[in-house]
Amino acid sequence: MVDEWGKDGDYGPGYGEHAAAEAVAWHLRLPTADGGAWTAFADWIEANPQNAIAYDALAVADAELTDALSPPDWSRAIPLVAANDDRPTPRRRWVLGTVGGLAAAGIVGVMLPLENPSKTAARIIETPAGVRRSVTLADGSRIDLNGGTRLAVDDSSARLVTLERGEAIFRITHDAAHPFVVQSGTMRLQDVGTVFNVARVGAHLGVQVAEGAVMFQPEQDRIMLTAGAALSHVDGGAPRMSGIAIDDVGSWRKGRLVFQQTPVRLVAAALERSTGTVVRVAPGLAETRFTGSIGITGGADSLIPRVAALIGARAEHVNGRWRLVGGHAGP
Amino acid sequence: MTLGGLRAVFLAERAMLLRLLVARLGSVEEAEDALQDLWLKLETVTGGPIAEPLGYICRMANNIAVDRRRRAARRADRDTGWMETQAGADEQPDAERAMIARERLARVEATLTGLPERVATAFRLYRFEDLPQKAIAEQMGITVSGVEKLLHRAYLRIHLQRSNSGADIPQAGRLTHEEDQRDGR
Repeated sequence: MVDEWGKDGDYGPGYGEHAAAEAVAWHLRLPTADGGAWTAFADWIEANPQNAIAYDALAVADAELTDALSPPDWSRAIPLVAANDDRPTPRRRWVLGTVGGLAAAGIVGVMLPLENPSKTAARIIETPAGVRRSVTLADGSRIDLNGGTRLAVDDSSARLVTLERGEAIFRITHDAAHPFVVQSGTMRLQDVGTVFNVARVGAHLGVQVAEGAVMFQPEQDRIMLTAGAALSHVDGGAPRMSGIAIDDVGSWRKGRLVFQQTPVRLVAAALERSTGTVVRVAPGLAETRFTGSIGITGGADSLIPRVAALIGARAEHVNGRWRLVGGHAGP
Repeated sequence: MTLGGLRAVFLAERAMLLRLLVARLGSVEEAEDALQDLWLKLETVTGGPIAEPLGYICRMANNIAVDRRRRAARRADRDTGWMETQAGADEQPDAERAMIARERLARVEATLTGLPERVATAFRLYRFEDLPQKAIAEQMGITVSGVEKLLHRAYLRIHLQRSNSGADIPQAGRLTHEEDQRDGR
């Protein structure tokens, strides 16, 4: 294959550095080009076969990136029913992730009715913002808690954990006879042999699956999330499905926060959990969506302005408090 | 610009549009098909006045060419048999596409982390946040031509240079010594 890449091995098959650089220049110019510029562009393509190949490679790759940035609308492909839908047998619905098709085949039929959780005293595990902690349960399951997180572990049933707030990634030792259940607010997740991340911020619940599968609302919606699937739910609303790169699930443990069409207020909450720095968001900016990844390195003084630049906002530091405000119009 | 207006521009510039499409698609026959698509697509244009109608129509023509080239690339993938062996469940093509999309994003991210921060920031703002170059210039406190230079480096590295296309993702973002120096790091 190496031979296809030209003699310096730096560029794609069929074109070299010069054609590549000119292709990029045209690609950046064309969105605002007038008729004359388009004619000049056609001249350029015809001038050298390398030009045509380089531009084509660039345009196709960039169009593919556009598609990659707008993930398929799972909720349209797989129609959702309301949680209170009273059909006799809850229909099982699959949300296929990256290896979903394969994982799904292996785990059909292990869903069991959920026992009533006992009401006995629970052990509380809590982390302050900016501080992480790992706990291993008696059955070997491991939970990594992000900062700003509060979990209740029911020691009597041992397979029920309540996420009161914050974020945690669960690496569950699967036991088909005793399903592991994560409860958060009124929402329930039941593992089917799984690594998954759960975040609760106020009324918002986010779930991302890295391995195996987890069932959202096993008694009602019965939405099966497999590896690479993500679910976002606001109390009282319908769940919204999307996809996530498996490596990005729980990437906060590696100091990287990944967002896809995430409201800025949830970005701020994620920053607070991971760094301990409280970041307020101007109301006009709170619901603005952000896609991208943020490396949470450096102190707040460099991190927060960097985040602001990424999301197209401005960072204000007043009386020791950080605030994100709209980029141009001010607060 | 009304539909009639766009059509008038199309008819007046038909030869130039055909030439553009032939250049892009490499075949007169396919270019004629694409031109037909373009004519039909003009009907779907809605919205306010278009300041530069010929530029606008050329952009539409180029987008049609890109779509055709992508479909051709997919067909080529299928012809290798890779997609066909995966086919089965109805949702497989979707899952397949989603997987490819995620891998692509992961590669772009890996490349971005290896690029100088200003280059990566400009690209993120331009490509992920859809900001115009002028707005990025204001935000980053640099000139528009400065933004263009940063974007130029990012595009080259992300879409055209080999390090990004290979399977060896960890190497994707590595800077050469020369680039290190160029960036003053």
